[in-house]
Amino acid sequence: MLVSLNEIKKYVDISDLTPEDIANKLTFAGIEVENITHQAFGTNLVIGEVLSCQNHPESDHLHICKVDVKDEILDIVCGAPNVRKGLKVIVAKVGAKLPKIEIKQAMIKGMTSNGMLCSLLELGVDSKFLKEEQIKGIEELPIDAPVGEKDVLKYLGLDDTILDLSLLANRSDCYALENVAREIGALFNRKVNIPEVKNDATYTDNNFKVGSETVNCPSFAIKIVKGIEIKESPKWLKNVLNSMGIRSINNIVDLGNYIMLRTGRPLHIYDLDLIKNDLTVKDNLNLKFKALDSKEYQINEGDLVVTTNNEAVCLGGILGGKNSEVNASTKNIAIECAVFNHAQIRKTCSRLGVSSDSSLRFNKGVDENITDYVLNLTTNILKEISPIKEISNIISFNKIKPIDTKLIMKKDYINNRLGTDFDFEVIKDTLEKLSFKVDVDNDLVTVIPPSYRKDIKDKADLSEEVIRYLGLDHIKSSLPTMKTTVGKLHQFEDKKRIIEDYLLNRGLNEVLTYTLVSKKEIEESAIFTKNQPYEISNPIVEDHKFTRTMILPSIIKCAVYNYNHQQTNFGLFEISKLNILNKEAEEHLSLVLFGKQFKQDLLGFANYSYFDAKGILENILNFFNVQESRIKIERINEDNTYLHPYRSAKMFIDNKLFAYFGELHPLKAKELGINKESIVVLEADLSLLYKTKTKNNKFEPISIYPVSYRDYAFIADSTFEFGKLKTELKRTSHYIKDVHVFDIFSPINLDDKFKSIAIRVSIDGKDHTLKDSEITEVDTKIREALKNVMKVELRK
Amino acid sequence: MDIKKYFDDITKEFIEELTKVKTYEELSVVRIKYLSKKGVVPMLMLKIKEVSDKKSFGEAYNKIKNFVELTLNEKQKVYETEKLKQELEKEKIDISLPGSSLKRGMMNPYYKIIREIEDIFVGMGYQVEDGPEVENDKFNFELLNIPSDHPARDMQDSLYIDSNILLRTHTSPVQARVMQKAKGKPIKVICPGKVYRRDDDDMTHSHQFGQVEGLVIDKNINMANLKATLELFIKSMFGEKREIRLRSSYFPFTEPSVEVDISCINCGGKGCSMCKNTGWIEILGAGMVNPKVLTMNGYDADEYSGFAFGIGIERVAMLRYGIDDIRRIYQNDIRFLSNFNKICED
Repeated sequence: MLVSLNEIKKYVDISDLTPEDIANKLTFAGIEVENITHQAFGTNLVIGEVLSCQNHPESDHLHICKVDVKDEILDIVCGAPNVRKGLKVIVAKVGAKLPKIEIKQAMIKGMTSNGMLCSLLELGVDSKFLKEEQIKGIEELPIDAPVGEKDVLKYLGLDDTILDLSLLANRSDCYALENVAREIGALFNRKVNIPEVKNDATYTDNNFKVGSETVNCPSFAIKIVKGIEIKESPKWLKNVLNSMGIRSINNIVDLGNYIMLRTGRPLHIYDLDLIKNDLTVKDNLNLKFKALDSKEYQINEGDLVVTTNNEAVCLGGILGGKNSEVNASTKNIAIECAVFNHAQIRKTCSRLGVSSDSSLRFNKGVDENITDYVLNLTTNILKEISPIKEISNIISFNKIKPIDTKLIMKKDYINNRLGTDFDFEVIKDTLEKLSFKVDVDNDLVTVIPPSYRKDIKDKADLSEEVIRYLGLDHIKSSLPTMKTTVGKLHQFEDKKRIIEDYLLNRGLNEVLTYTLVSKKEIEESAIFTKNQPYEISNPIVEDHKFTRTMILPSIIKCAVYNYNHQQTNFGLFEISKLNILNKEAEEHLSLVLFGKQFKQDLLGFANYSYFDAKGILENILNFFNVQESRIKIERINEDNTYLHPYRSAKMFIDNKLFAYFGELHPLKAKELGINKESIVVLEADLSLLYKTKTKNNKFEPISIYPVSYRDYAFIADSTFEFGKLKTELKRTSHYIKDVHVFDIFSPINLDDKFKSIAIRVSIDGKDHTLKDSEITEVDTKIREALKNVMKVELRK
Repeated sequence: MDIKKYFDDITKEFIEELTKVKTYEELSVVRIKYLSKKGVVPMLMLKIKEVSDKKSFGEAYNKIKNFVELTLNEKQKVYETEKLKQELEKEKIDISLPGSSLKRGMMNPYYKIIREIEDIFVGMGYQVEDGPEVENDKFNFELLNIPSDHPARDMQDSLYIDSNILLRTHTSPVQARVMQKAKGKPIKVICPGKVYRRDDDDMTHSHQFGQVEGLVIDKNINMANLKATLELFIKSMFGEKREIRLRSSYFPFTEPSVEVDISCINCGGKGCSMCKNTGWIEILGAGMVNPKVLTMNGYDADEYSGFAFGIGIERVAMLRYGIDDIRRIYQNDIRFLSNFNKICED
């Protein structure tokens, strides 16, 4: 909302205040002033008269002028095409500061110039308010302009300062200049004079009927004025509109806009001769409507339409109709002041994609109680700007019952809520300055807010009024005195932090990517998960249309971004909640290992592999004390083109799917533009892990008996699986503590599919030192198992 | 036989021989000559038969034996030290080569800020709560005093799944959820999480961002309590020197509502480009819980009161680290993330 301070001055004396004072006070009281702008700007200006004007001998467009500015006669070189003898002009003297330049004495092609003749554009007036000739040439002042007048901006009506208010939803009352004046008056403790209006009806109209067939228009009133004349608006009216960002059209249209800016109530003005003898609001129509902007709109049921004899003449509160528009030949008018439901206005505006100053105000809610005031004010002013023959009474339909908001509170309520210690008299005085009625009855206080403060509905609202007026700096600091409580992280947050810290310490970077993804990522995720996404019905872009069901596609994108920015060896991970259709949200961990990792030897690097991802998972499971026996691992579908079919796996805890991991499929890598670097990925459902019940950590005594080791080497073919071997060997004797692989290689003399494998078995007696005979027995069982169950050939 | 003289002669001879020794190997020869089974010293023992004062002989024998052993050992140690030194020298390395470090990973500043905020409030006795990101209209709007036709809905253009379900536009719905769960008992919680708006992404806007909601409810909670809590938080987060000031504002679920400014992190309040010469920077929104919200969620508003606040996580991160564009946080460029590694280890 743009507010002209010149207009405010008409209602409240602010002559001793700077615009900054006013802006600051308003801002702290909850009405933020975003910007202060001057309508035009210039120092050292004076009105002059061109005494003589000759062409510059050395230029085809410059003129040498002598300009009378009363105290002296100045030589000025001017390039404007319209400069001529006898013209009254705006002179910026040497030393003048204009928005873009400072005027200095200058030599222009050999001639001295002591100033500049100005256009309004050069004084900073927005070009949208100027005609073409005003932009091309210097301003031509009226012939009666007083030569020597130094307050040129005031003479021009361009001495206004504009505050740009950023209004929050509760203060829609400040979409009216009068209410802004009231607010400023209250904040600076000054009297506010809003002039009274007179009922200026010259006749009573008994023929015209108004009405509404919908609850969404509870009040509809008009006033008829006959014998008006459409013409240019007077200067004051043009200036007000210009300063508040509205273009002047003609006196009648301008008046409608002025009344809206001043009172906050939008008007609509019909050419009386283009409508019949009735105006009725309906909301059950389906039709095409041609509006003032010459566009055609589809009206549906629900939209509020003003009709005359069943023909639509106005889209209520939003746009007038082309068929009843005030035009150059209009003689008689009907001025409408109605109340349209804010929710319905918003609905229609958003469906049709239109909005106007009028719909904006209805949207926020208007003061319904001032209809008569507004209509009378309109005709009172109309009389000043147009000839008039007849003015009717107010013809109205009104179903609004006045609501008396009465708030009752205890005397100490406000101080208790704010933690302040104001005297009650100060509180009472404050509320009264803000135009609230305050009645005190012993300990109980009854407060009635003014009708335009529709936001005041509860006694808590009064506490805000008091403190925003007296200043929030009156609130002291004092910590709450509550029962002591133990602070706690969310139940899974501790667990999440353990995983985060482990991965960070392992050198992986923790990233943050978007929840919303495109269809492509959902399709990729569907390779792995049956979880379904939520689909956004009104997405901003197609790339952000679904809630992701896996993090992996996002984090791979992130890795590719970094690869394309010259990063070669790195790890990324993200832990995020996923929103899944018709299911509880899951928390997932996803990670990418890209390129090579640092190995222990000096300057040594090795490609990331399947085993790095597996190792990470095993470590995490170990933190959570999940026993190896509860974990199962399987190869994933060989047909998938996302992960390497033979270097990837899924992992289960208690037969529930926990994670996918492995090396990226070469085709997928190629698609991403990565040819050489190895990429290992993983996605795990941490919520499953969080919920898995595990044994508590308890101290287990360290065995005091020595552990024995036996090594075996054998040749195995490609069907051999270490996991199976381990299970089988452990089954042969309870003395077998663990089985490790310490060498795998392909001997040169053997076919590729055969490998030589060496294992070490640790044998532990637990409660006694194993005798040789016992060890031999275990050894025999191991050899038998290798030969008979695993079908491998022991090397000699 | 003069045993003493005999022993002295041998000692002298031993010392003489030892002085001639130049290498570890020569020393070994001397050791064998004197201390091997049939060496000079053990052979001396045979002489005991020839003397009568066996006690004195024994003492003298032990003396010479100890002397020879000790002297040889000392000499050997010198050679060994010398030898080791030579071996170690062969293992000499270039100490200026880089260390074989496994670097710690870097945390996106978003997570660092959440952790810090959580830790500050947990230290003050708050519980950290969690709530769904896919919310229904009732919790996101209605129970927070934003009915369907409320003009405040203009402030938040939302991403809808259907007419009733949407991605939460703020963490405030957790207020309603926590109140309904606490069933009229005192509350002291914060709730961090992701929220979503129908905004185009640019330098200062993001369709997804993080918030931390705070809610305290008890008897006699007032605005001075809110101010002190926020002051404590701001000083923990931005340093002891930071001051706060409150500006009147509007949120449907709080009354009074305030915007909280902090004295500029960059200039300390003198005025600079970061604070647009005002000396202050807007940091969060807060207020006293609207009595209607208390009533709707099962609290007696005449008996209980409360305060609530909402902190923008990226906003805090951007101010804290001087990040110029919110999109950088979601871009995860490793070169960007590496800025935050040092502070991470603090």
